Amino acid sequence: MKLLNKLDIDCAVVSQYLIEFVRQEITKAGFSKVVLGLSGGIDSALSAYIAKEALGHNNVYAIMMPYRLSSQDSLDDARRVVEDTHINAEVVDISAPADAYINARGDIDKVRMGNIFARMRMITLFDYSSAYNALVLGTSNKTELLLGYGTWYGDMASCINPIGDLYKAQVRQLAEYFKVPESIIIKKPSADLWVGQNDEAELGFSYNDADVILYHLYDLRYSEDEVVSLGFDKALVRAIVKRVMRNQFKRLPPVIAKVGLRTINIDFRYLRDWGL
Amino acid sequence: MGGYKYENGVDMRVALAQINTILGAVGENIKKIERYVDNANEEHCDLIVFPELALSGYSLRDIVKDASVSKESAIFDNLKEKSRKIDIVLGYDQNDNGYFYNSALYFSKGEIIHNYKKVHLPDYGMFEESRYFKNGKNIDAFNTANGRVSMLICEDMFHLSAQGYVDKLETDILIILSASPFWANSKKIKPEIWKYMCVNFATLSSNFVLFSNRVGFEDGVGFFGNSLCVDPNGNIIKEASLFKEEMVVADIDLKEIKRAKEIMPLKKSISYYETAK
Repeated sequence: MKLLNKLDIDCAVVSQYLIEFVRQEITKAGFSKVVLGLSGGIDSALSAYIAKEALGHNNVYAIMMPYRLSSQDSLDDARRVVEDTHINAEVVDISAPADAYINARGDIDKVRMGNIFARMRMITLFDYSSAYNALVLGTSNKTELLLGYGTWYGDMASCINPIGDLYKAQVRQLAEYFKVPESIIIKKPSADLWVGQNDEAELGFSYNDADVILYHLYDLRYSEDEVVSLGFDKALVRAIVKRVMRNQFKRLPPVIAKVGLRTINIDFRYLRDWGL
Repeated sequence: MGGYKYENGVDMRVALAQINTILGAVGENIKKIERYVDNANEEHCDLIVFPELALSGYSLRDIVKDASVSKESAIFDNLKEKSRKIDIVLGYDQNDNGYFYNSALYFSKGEIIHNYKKVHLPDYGMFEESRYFKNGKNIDAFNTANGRVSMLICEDMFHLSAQGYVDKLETDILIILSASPFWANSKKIKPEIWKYMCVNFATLSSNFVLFSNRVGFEDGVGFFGNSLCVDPNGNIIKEASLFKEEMVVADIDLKEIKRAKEIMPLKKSISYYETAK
């Protein structure tokens, strides 16, 4: 058996579960609508299909937020999702506000620029959230959340996230199950933050390898040596472990200095669904 | 062993109400529970079983005190009254002298005839029960109009010692109240584990097993429902949907208990071993 097959899931049951998750977590908070950034990539496409099933196409707002250097293919793929699902869609070009900030700062490297784009999109989504009385649907998958391959308070910001416990390979399985347009499923993953960006080239390893390594380390609790013995390079496994540790901060709310008897998130312990 | 009525050919109708619950909103939850009891009563059920912590919600954390009620609370008055017509099983956050228990009540004939305090409180993985609840010390059985009954709550069922103890109690019906969270991997989905356990216990003990598992989400944790009624031969005779709030009704023939014991007279050669040294 291929190691990646260990990540296979029962798509019929899991999709039903995720649809219920979106429907229930949104409606019990007193909302009926969601807004999400639709990039043309597989993660936001899958999230859009789940949201449409959960809430109906009229209650889903997809915002496409290209920058002037974004690829036309991304926008075309996003439009395919909109055409197929009949969800509401708007294009909000972030070039002007992003450039206004970038030009005022002067020399900015591409990582900072990428973060600015991600946060400009976050500002747009949360503004639309307020305008449409719709909650922001997160579209980060488990692989990128574990690797910290996202912008804190940028694309990682959301109200609820249906796909955050799915590895990239599992997102692909579900995308096929939901019949997401094939061009989206087969293309190379890219955050499209600069021209020609390719996630796997930037990370230095493939998503398939990352998925298998992460799944064995954290879901199955294999030791690093046991993962290496599956046929992975020791340095790669170590690098991934270090990435996961180093990025723990991105997965948590800010750390608060405990002074009082009951401190938020330390010993003031309530679920977000308190009273819901 | 008393209370059997199956010689007289009494059939029993059971309702499994796999409800969603508002976290901490005891006043609203009791209204929903009472509505379901009325529905089950209209369908001429003899018994309705609600899930674990149905009155309070599951992941209570610091709400544990606010959502707790004592067994003597007036909040149960309506249920007591309704239990003159239908037996009711309900999971709640019990306040007993300032300690909190994950408990189950059995209402019958206008009163509470049994209160069970969950013995095995999970505290691993996502679970925090033993941080907030005190554990019960004993599993016991009690007689009802429809036979001898034991109640277990969720994690209890994962302990073979608890299952073995119920087996010793010579019960007819095992009621399991649950708030079991969903997960899935390439080999199985969580609901399958519950099917194995319920079918296995029913088969080996010749009990009816009534498994009532809640639905709904609490901060992303989804409870899967899929409540079950299993007969003493290990056949699943009723199965509720995954993830959907609903009440299912099962007609059970209590004489199956006797027949199952005749077909597989396991108790004939039973031997209870001393605690292993």
